[in-house]
Amino acid sequence: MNESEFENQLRALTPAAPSPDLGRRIAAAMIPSRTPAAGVVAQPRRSAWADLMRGLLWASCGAAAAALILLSRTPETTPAPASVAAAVPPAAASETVSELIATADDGLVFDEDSDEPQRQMRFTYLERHVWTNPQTGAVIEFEVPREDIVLMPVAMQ
Amino acid sequence: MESSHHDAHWQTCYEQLAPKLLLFARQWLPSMADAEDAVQNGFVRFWKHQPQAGPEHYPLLYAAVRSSALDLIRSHERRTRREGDDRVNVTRSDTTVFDTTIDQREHAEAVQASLDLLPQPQREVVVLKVWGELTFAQIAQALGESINTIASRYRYALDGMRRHMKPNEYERV
Repeated sequence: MNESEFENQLRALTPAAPSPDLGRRIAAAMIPSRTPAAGVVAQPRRSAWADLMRGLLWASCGAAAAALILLSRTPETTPAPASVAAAVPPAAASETVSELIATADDGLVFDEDSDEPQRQMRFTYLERHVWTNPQTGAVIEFEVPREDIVLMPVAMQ
Repeated sequence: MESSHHDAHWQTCYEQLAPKLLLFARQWLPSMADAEDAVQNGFVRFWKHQPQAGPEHYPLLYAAVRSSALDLIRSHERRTRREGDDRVNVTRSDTTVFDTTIDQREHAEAVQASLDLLPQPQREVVVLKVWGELTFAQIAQALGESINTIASRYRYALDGMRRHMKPNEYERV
């Protein structure tokens, strides 16, 4: 049996049809994206600039409120006990190493903000932070995993 | 008028490709329900971004379904780790992957068994080429690989399947 005969044997099998429910679910998912439901006013698409300005406005309101509260309070100075301050000397970050331990190609994806497909790459790092106390010489090490997902534009022909 | 065109586009696409997309998704997701979820997510996402898509864009639809299937697997893995639940091994035997007559059933089972033995990159190429009826160039576009790589994987995959399905015949050849 040559290769094309074998391919024909494989092609003789037809993939099983999905359940009727899948068609209904897809139809339901496709329709609301185009026509709003009765009695619901379609909202205009918000721009990123408007979102940014709204965020800044709320942030400045919050900052002003916090400043007012702080200024209205009488400062109460409660110095930390000398023994506690002496017992916890400051430690300083002395080293940070980021080690790439894995990469994965997730293939082509569709980003919400882009009409073109993009390649999604997944980079996994292990970040190692070292803190050293200059007075006591104590070294604190901790490791944090980090995963970066990067979308790269793909040129389609 | 435009919306009815759009409906006609995606409905025609669904009628033509739904079984093929489902078979493709089931190469990652043995459970029929999960595979249908992946097809739904990929299909809707694709048509949302490509409302005027034609058959020349269908390789990207396969890419969208693949991406959805991988997302679903990752989400299952995260949940399994979080809940410490290892009861997620779903066997494919509960439902059939191919529509078969009684005469074809044994052949279909042998084909699926030999597909299951292939490495994932080879398996997806075979499914796209044989049952998806895509060209090597379209498969390369869907998977983001070179055409030579795809052709080579396809040849290896067919050899592997023939060796598994017809061991005696393969030795004679």
